[in-house]
Amino acid sequence: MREQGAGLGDREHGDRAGFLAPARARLAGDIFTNPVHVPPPMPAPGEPVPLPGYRNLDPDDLVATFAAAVAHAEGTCHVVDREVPDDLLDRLVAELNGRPVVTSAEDVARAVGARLAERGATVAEATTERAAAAGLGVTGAAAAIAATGTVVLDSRAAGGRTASLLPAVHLCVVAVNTLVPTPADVLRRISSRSDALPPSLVFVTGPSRTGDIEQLLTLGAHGPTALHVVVVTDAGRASSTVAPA
Amino acid sequence: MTGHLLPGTTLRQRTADAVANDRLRTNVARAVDRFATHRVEGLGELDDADGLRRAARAAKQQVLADLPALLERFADNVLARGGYVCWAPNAEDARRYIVDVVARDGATRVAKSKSMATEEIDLNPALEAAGAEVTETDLGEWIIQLAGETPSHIIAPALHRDRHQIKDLFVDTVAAPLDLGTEPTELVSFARRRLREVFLAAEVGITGANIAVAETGSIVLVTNEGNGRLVTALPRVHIAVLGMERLAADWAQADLLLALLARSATGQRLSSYTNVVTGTRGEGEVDGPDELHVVILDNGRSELLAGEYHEMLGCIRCGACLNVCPVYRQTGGHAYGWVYPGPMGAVLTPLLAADQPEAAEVAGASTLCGACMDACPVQIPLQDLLLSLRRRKAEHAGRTERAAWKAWSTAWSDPRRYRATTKAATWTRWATSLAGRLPVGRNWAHGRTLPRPAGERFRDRWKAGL
Amino acid sequence: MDVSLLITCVVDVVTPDVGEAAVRLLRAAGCEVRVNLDQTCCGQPGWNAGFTEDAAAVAKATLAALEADLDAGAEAVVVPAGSCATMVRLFWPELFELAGDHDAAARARRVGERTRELAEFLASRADQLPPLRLERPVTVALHESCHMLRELRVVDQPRALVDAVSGCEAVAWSGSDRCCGFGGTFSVKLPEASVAMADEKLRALAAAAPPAEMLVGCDTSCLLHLQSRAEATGNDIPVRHLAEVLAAALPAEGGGEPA
Repeated sequence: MREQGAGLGDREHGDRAGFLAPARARLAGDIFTNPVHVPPPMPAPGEPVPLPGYRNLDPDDLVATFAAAVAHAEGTCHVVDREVPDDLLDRLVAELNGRPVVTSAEDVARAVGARLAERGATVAEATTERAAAAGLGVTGAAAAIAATGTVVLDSRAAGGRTASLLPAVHLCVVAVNTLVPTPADVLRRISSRSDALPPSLVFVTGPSRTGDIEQLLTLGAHGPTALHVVVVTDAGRASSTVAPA
Repeated sequence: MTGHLLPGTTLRQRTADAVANDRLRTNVARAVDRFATHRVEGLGELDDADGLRRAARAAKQQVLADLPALLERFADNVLARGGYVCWAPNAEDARRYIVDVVARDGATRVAKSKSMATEEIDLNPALEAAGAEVTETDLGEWIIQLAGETPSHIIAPALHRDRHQIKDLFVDTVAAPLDLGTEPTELVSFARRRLREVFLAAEVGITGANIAVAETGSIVLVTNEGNGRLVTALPRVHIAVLGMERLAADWAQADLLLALLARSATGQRLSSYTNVVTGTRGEGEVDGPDELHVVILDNGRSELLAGEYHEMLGCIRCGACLNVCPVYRQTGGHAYGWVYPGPMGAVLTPLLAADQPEAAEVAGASTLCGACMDACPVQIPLQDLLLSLRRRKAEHAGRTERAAWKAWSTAWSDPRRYRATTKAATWTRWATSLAGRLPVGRNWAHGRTLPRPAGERFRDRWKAGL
Repeated sequence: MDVSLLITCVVDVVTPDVGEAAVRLLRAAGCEVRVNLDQTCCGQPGWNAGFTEDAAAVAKATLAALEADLDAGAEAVVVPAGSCATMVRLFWPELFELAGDHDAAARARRVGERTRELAEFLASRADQLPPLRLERPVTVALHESCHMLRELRVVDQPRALVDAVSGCEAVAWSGSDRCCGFGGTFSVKLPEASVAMADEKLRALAAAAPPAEMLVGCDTSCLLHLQSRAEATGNDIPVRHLAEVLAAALPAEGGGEPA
């Protein structure tokens, strides 16, 4: 791995000042304002950016909103009390057809991995090679977003970018206390975080897909064909499964 | 990519060829209708979508007004996270830097995620000339790469091809088996298997950047297929090409834009993968690039700042304007002759490809119907920009055209001359004898009957007593 | 109410029936109609083609004529064309500013504030119109022209007026709000694309269910373009301006049938 932190001057190419000079010169004067379709006034300094409101969001039932949104995005959401349901694990192992499983380094993923191993699957922590050969990848999530049905994967915690990306099936376990209402609840909080952003933070909304063949939705382009999200409520709620319509 | 269409063709030729292609028109109509319908549904889920569009327009105004400082902040943050920054005033600078990075370590395998900016700078031929093997990994882009074509739509580059044409292409160019099925799942499976090898072997991954967030030096990649994640996870080197205007100042602005981007493009709440890339592989991570290079591209953009075309720099490349454009619907993307199609292309081509003489007329590929403005998530006044471009072009008009308009204004700026030139008898003679012979008349008569002379004018009736 | 009619050059020279219908309607709505014959054209063809000075020169003549009517007591300028009304109301000030004529720009703003497209105007005085009735019922497809819809934001009024006519039924058809492909000089600079766009509209028209017996709109340019393409393809569907349909539904004179 190349040494990081080499002097800043080494890693900046081209002429910064020269590059920015034309822009600075042009912006020094008045900015043209369209006279017919007039733009709105420039926001005052410090004026907050409006927050999008989502009509499908039930603020009193984030779990139901989330489950519906996951299904809307062609994922499958399972809401459980304590742990990933046995029947789901049985089914996933059966669908593996002998292919191995990779997990992230997260405790929750390792725990699921152990239960899969009990069912006869070959389970290991993810490396690129192992993920490329695997039929299932298991990870946790840094957060989940109800309004969009999104799970947020942190490359540091998720044991690499590939556990959730290379295998055909991705199983993601979400703790309900990480479920927030809207993307703003994750994105806008980035500013006030004390720790820096991870190298990769991926907002995953449903499986991989493409419409490039006649605009017909086809799942599983380069990423997973199926996404199972298990929301663990730890609160005595009845289990339910919400699948794509 | 085989290069751009512009040299040696005219807008009329390209549109004529396109509208004569029934298969193309069917494919385009099907695609844009789907996108446009989903867009309405997707935006309908937002409270006061129009208010958010207005706010997004204002946010973009803010970014552009402060662009140099924001670019500095962005670049400093990239550098602080161990990344490289290349300031590329023009396409040649960007190409040279990228080729150097690729060639430096003897890398030969390059995997690309979709990037309009890299098409704009004609990157692939330069890389290939330097000995690299470049593979587009977005399915639509791979298809057009194999076909040697340019993209037809910015979100769905190969929408001009149907399943049979795609299967035939795979058989002809990448040795797909003859019995490969034409069901979309089969075609996608085939592509998945083939391109998986590319991802795993690639030494360099090249992407664009949907949004660059100055606050943290992050690049946001919005994709659906997973290729954007793969080319930034597996290869040792990640190169991102960023148009200098594609910034958000902070995460609040990025949140607003992301709420509008996917919905405007495809109707999705968020794309399958919204990937926030900040710096290089972290300590202890098992994958991710060792090197991140961000190439910040001007290539004609700074020229647009503060002037009549300033607001065009607010474009977030969602494609909503294409999906509602009645002209694009009939012609698809190639008719526009360059990298950017539809209404945004009609504006960007004369501006960014200004060195090509054929670029100016692309602003004429519009009836000024205004549907694009109603669809644009950042409310770019596209119609006004097109009119500005036409005024600019008119300044260089040929003698004949200038004389024709002069004749019109001389006649019709005076009530008496207007009356003389429109007198019923004159009109009748003109209509029957001259119209068919003038180019204007011939072009009208191309597929249409000539309007019949009315015999008298309204004003004649009024004078006679209405 | 005293109103000034902006005839529009196309109506004046090619479809005078539309102008006549407009006059009858305005009178039926209780208006006194002035027509200042010093008007020529609103200048839009040159404006859309980018020939600002030429367009301004032409528009100025019309500006003077309308202004004279307003000064003489007219309370509004009424225009039987969405694109011309848009030109006067939205684009005239910018046109004159660009041509360096700030005085004309100010005068244009004043005139523009009082300018109304015909359907917009009539709908605002709907209660003053007599009952409208067609002797022979007809189903119509309304073409919603671009400037009306997206610049003037005159969306509901044409349909409301059609609905107010007993015996006239507006049918839904796909893409009724899509551009017809005229676009001024576009129609002769890119004729293949222009015709393809007309064909798209005509196909949608043919597929309307229930079927439309007549194509109706508020912009003569659009209608001429669609009609001339229809005729060239052997389609003889009647094409009328909204004013003609409404005028034919006026009581007493005319007998209640669109010509």
